[in-house]
Amino acid sequence: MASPNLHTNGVGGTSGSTLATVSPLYTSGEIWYLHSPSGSDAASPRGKERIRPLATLAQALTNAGNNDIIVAMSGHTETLAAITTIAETGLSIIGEGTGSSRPQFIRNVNDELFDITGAGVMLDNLYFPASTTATALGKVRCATAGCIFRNLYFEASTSDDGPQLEFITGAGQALVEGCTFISTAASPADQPATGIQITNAMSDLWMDQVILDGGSSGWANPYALVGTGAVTRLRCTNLDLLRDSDVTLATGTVGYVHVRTKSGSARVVWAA
Amino acid sequence: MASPNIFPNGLGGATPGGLSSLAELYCSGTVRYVHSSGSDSYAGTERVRPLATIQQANTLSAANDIIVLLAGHTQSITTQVNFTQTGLTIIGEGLGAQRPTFTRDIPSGPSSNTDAGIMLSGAGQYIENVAFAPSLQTTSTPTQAGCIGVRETGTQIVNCYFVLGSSRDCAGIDFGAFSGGFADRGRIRDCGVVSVAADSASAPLAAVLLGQASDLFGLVISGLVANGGAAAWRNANSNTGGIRGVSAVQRLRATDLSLLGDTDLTLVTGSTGYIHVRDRSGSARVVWAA
Repeated sequence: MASPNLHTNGVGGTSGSTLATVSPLYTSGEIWYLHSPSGSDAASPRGKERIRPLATLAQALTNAGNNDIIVAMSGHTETLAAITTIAETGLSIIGEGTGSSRPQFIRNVNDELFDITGAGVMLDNLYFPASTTATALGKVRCATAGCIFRNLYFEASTSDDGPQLEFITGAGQALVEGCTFISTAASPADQPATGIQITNAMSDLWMDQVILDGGSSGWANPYALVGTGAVTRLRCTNLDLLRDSDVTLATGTVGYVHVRTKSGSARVVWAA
Repeated sequence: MASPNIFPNGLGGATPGGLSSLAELYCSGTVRYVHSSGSDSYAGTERVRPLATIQQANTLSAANDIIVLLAGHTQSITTQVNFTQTGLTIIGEGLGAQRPTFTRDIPSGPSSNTDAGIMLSGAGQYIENVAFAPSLQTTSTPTQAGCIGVRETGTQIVNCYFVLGSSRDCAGIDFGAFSGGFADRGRIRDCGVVSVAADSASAPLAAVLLGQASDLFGLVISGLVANGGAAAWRNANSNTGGIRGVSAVQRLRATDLSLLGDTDLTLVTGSTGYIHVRDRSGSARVVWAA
């Protein structure tokens, strides 16, 4: 490995992900900038300078290697018409900006939006609006260990017939922190499926300050967090179950669920 | 498994945030309380009849149980407490001086296998809001393990505070201690390690040791404050004090790191990931071998 890179001013941002704040940053990998309004796609070294960002996530992933950081800058918006596989181990995709200026990734395909297969991938401060093409597949699917999902905002509506965040075989030691999953369906007929789904058995799922919000129309499943596979060592603290967002856990799940706030008929169903 | 236990009022504590707050708690394991005013003849499952020692709580615990250290609990540890049950949770209640506090008084060793204060040896264990005072032992040889040692996968150390001030002190946290190399995908969050040694001769060895046994993978560190105080860390001039990677740390994610009072961070060749430094003072530096 070459000597680590020292970014004396960090990634140069001022809001959003912790990594985006102005502080010295040492990295073993490269940093790639992404901004759809001003960027342009080209092979490396395009995208290494903040003032010459790339335009698409696909190009950023092409340029990036293991342990690199992709900085999606404030105002980045991208509609993806094909599945995006994230296979680089230790890759970080972080967003700058707050609220509606957070980087947005909109699904317009009958497939997963993000399929994470690289161990230790992190997504931080990204915004996933409701899908625009109907699909029963997960929006973000995790099939590997040690991934981090932090400060993500998921909106789900009539086209989201699958989970927003799904853990399948291979997932483990995952952290979900500060994420919000909300149904934006306008009517019960438009209910999305669910927020989080543990499809297959996994070990060590850590959740903290996660908000599951059924909105005005709720979830179709009807659970907002669905465990069809058992979780060995679930640690869930400061969970907000709002507006009829229920939780169901599969038989064999061990650990704890700590509910900070709840509204509507929110409930926890934990199979013996 | 039996149906999970439901605690409508949580664990009954009042410490803000997390498991100790008054909120509904569903858990598959048994909850046991510990306070130095209690008795080890109790079952420890009632808040008003706590156990007296963490050793007894350890003896009684099964996988995925919760041990609650009540506010004001204090205890001297003369023999390493080795927690082997997977998924065990140890949480302290109380803030500031009321935070449960342990003091190491382990004369034997040095042996990394036996002289930590608390050794976390089961996969997926979690410890939160516990403090350590300086070791009572003052021999010139540091122990070979930290106040808290980790040697299994998926371990988390959260909001713990370590005051080191004796030449016998090895480190606050020893992640990957004599493990056979399985302390992967762990997490250190919002912890503080401070040296209060009066001079370099009595300075503790280091604040945090990473990978004493072998390479670590996927370690996440956030909000760690390491403060060398007036005398910093032993061997500070040779980059072996402060936060030290003994073996390579791969996929390290360190954010909001405070390197204060000449605290250095050293990583060996093969380490990958990133280090984000929030604050630094003195001659604090990052030494990352190519």
